[in-house]
Amino acid sequence: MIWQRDRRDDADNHLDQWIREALDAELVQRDADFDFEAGLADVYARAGLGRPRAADSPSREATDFRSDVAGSIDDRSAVRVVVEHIEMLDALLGAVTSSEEEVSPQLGVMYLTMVRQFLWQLRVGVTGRRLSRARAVQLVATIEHDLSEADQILRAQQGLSLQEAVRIRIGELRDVGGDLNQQVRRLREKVLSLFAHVEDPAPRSPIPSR
Amino acid sequence: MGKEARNRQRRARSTDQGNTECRDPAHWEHWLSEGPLPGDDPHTLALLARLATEHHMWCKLTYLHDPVLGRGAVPVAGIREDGTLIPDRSGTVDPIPVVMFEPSRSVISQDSRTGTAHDLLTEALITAGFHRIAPGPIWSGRSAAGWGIYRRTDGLVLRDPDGAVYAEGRTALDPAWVSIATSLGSVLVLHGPCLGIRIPAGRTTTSYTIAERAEEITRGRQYGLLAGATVRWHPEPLEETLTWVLLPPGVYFQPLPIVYVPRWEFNRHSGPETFGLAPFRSFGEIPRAQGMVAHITETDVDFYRPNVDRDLSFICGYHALGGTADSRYAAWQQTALTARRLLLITGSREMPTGTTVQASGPEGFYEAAWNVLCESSVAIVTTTADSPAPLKT
Repeated sequence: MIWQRDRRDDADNHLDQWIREALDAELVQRDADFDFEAGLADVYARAGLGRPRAADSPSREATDFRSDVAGSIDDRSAVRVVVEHIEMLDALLGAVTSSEEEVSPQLGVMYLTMVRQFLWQLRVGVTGRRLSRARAVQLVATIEHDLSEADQILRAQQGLSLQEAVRIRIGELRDVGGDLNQQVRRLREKVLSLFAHVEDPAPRSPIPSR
Repeated sequence: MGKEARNRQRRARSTDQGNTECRDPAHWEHWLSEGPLPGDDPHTLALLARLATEHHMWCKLTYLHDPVLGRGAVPVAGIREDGTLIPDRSGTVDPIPVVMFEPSRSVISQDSRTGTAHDLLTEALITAGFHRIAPGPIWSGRSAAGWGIYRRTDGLVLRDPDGAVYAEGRTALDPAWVSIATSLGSVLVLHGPCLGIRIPAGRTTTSYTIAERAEEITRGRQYGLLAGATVRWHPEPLEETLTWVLLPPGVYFQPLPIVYVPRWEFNRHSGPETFGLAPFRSFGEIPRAQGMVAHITETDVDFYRPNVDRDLSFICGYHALGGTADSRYAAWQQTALTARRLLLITGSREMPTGTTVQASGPEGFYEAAWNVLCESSVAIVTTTADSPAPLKT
């Protein structure tokens, strides 16, 4: 078969777009079918790791939200989806930062630890409904930024991508982590969906706005 | 934010592992030897934590066309299809205001396996949203969303979107510079250990030439030691307090030692309500804090979530500047541990302290302090001398 590079539909951009859409569609389907709890437990079991306590009660805060805050079932469900996604990312990164093997230089760990802290901040903010849309978007952007920095540091110092470091830690279940960048994009979409039909809450007063 | 958390954790670990009394990080110059420091030594970790919390640093205002940033530089109006830049030589482009922060002391971390080096303060800024300035002739001022430069009476403060301070420096504010910054609404902030502000030993302001300063900056960029970003300029003086205040039992005629924490410290935790703090009504209605303990050490007051992963457990903390030699802090520490509780107050206004008492007398002090209290949130927090237990899985 001859690859017709001069045809618009076969151009790289179109191909990239097609692949991206196919992967995103697959992620959506997996999100719908995937039993997060069972999957995460399996990840840890296969990697021979105990599960970090932060992830012990996967939807504890979602439960808190359900009991403390009035909201529609859809809202609560959307928050729960975001929390579960955050927990999945946190578990993957926690596996890398807690590695006893020499897969993570100190500086890379510093960036990944910061990502975990921003994920935690996002989680607390969305469950408590005290996070502005703008700050939520900033947090996801900073998470993306730090993952990119960590990836560059790992490549420069270890000749290893962040994705490869994750895969080494979680063993055979490569598809659970998928591509981290994709996962963060999905997280952004889920976070934005929380703000799609509601007014942005009033900004917290302590930050001067002048 | 997270930077402080990291530092506190390092400090906690270092405190766990050894007695730092003879090597107090506050007096590092008395015991620090020449040469590299072992990365796993608790004294090293304590020193790193100490230096990383030093936000006061050299500060200089300038413009992007300053010769130290690149002689003959011109603004770029666009990029051609072939990737070459389109210069703007019209002379009508406003100068870009620049703030440079150069730490007095830098902490260079070197990977012994690869030889690569990083400045920890620079990396801390980058983890929080700044960008590494790449080597080359082009200055690009990518934005750092939510960050801001704030005016104070004697200089400038750089804060992240949650309000945490990453740098502050004393500098005279040139009215022309301020005018342009206000007009643009943003400034370019550069931060790193190689900005040519400090004068090398044996040199003077005049003998350390512009060319040498420019060379220093170029070298910093080559080594990846320069962080920068375009951030929002806040023209009005900053009124929100940035200062922690510790008060002894008896203040407000109540029995507990007090910690007054700037409210922005809780921004990254979605506000003080997350921990059960409530607006002050009376001393008969003060709630207990939820999911928070205060870890009291010889030099620090650190608030933690005791029930989560250690990497995520730090909330906020205070470091006694005088270290173990601070007798007033030592007395406060003793009362906080004896009472096993403290009164946590958080607000946005400046808590009156000694100078206020001198200025207005005790009655004026109590009135001002009462007014601050009435606009604050409060809770009683359990204190402990024990470091939060590491959560092993």
